[in-house]
Amino acid sequence: MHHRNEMKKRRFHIFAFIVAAVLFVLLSVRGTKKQEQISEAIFLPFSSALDPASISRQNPSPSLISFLGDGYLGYIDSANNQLYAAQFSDRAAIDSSGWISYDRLATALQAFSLGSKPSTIAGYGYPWFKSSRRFLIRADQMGIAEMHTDGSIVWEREFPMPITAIDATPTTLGIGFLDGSIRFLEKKAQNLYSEPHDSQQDSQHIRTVYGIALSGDGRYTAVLRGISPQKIESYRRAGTGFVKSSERELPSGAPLQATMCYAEDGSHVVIAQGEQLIYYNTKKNYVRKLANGAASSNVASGAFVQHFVLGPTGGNTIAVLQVQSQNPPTTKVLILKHGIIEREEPGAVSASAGKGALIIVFRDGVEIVKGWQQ
Amino acid sequence: MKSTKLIAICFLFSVAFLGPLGAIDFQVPAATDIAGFGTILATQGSSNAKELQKTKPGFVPRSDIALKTEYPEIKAPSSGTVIYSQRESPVASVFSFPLGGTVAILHPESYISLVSGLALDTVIFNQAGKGQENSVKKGISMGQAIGSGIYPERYFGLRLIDIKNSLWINPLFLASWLQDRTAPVIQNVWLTNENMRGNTPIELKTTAPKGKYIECQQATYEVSVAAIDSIIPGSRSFSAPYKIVIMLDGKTSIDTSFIAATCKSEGLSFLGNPAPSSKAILENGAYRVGRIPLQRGQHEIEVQVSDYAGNQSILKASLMVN
Repeated sequence: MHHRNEMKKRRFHIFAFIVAAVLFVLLSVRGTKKQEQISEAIFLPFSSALDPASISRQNPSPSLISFLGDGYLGYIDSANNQLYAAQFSDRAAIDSSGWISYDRLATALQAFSLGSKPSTIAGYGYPWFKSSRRFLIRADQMGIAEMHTDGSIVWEREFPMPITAIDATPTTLGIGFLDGSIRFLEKKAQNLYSEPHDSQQDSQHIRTVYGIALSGDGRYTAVLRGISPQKIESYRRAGTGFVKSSERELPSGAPLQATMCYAEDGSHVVIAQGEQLIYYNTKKNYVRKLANGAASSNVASGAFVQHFVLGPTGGNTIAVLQVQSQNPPTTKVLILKHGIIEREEPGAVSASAGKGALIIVFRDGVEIVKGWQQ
Repeated sequence: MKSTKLIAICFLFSVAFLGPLGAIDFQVPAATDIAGFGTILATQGSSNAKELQKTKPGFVPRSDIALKTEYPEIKAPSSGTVIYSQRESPVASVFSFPLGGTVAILHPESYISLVSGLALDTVIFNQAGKGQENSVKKGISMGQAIGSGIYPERYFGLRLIDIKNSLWINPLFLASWLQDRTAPVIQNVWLTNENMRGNTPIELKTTAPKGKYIECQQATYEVSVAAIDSIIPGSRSFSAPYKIVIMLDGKTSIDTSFIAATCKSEGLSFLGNPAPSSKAILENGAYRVGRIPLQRGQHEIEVQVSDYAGNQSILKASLMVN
């Protein structure tokens, strides 16, 4: 009798072990599914790239992703593993319709539209493309214009102070200024919200805006301004304007210029200022200085490191460029997931994402990471 | 003689207009070439090359002075606190703002100076933001003038903002080393009938034969003046003149100058015109200086255009108003 019970117990243990093993395997497979999805990475050198002029405007591939590197720009057809690339000598801006190359003096603007002949655009500013919109920041940094793809001006605005920060969504344009004032403009450049500097009350305490970031849906914005203390201030859309919802003090000691952006899911903002990288959780209103060891791994001693936020790369990830001022300077792209390094790409100069693929741009070619879904 | 006049003008300017600015010990670097405050940024040709372009970005008076110095190293014009530093991105994949390497310094009495178009020294760029450590002393090196945006190669820019009074001050008044002996050139003066804007304006320079009257109708006329000045003898840049006065029958009707521009919500206001700054310029590049009412009868009009050193050019015409 006792022996039978022992046998039953043993059988039950074996059965439980098999069930646990099956569950473990199933869960493990589910946990690594994403890793399996991004297992395919293809490198396409610029030497084998096709001319972007061969992309038909009427029938552009639906899987085209634009990229801007350091000397090369173009498009990736991620479905057909095809690279279209062109060289540019100085500066450029690109979107899905084409690109504009320009020089330091902003007088020679060459526009290239997909499927059309190159043309010269009359302008006196630096082209800046964001969220399928094309802007021209006036060469004295005192004005901005929105352009059609043919270079004609939709609207133009001048400001009484130099622009120091800018971000845009399809519906909203956020601008920060030297004197600490901010403006949010709607699609036709009408004021949605403005916060002027009070010259009479606060003339010795200028809180210059160093960075501005709008969430993809245009409902939230984060503004970085002031020196002592430096703060990140959150605004949310309320009715036809914006209201300040929270603010947080930031660690000081960084250069007074920043790049920043929201993650696509709106969960957080990453701010880059010189060596400093900061994670700001917009939902829980806390900031975290990303540890130098994590954010700046393999940095040579004595080298001056600069970080630049490149942009959101889907979901809760943001791409950051790290530049070390060695001789020659070295670059690295970091893909941060909630502020933690998800990928490191030494030698890369840029990254962009779309159509289920992550594009890592190097000086000699482009890597397509397929199945990129965060 | 002229430099004595200049010093006197500078002194009067400091006392009457700028008030405490003299106290901040501001030094505009000695330059070999200058494009002055109020000079049109982009030439008409370069900004209007495409027919589709409805507006002309850059066809505005400049709110800074562009300078070229003998040596490219640029030093801080005055002591203060760095409130903004901007550097060009080391790689083309990251957007850089047009003014290139830039430092904004907050001086006593709420003046901000902005030096742009530099290859900024790493030390200056990095020291900013560290509390008390972000102060700079007059004369320390900020970087090399390399040009960017509105500054050609080896040029840099200087702006001065009076935050308390919402004014952009013309920095040329602080260039005590200026030696200008050449009078401005009046290219033409136009009178535009405010009630008949479609009509061709009256050109005073080309249609005023000596001793004869120019006939026109009784109305209020907008006066616009095209004039240029060369601040540094032999330099390649032309600048806007400093002061324009319109005398009608011996009395001052219009007295305007590029002493400063006023901050408005819509941008900058020059010569008393409404903002944005493009409203101070006509399509032909002439400055809108004001309005004069012309009553029936004979009138003598005198246009006086002066530069910073007090050199003056005069255009006289006789009008017969019907």
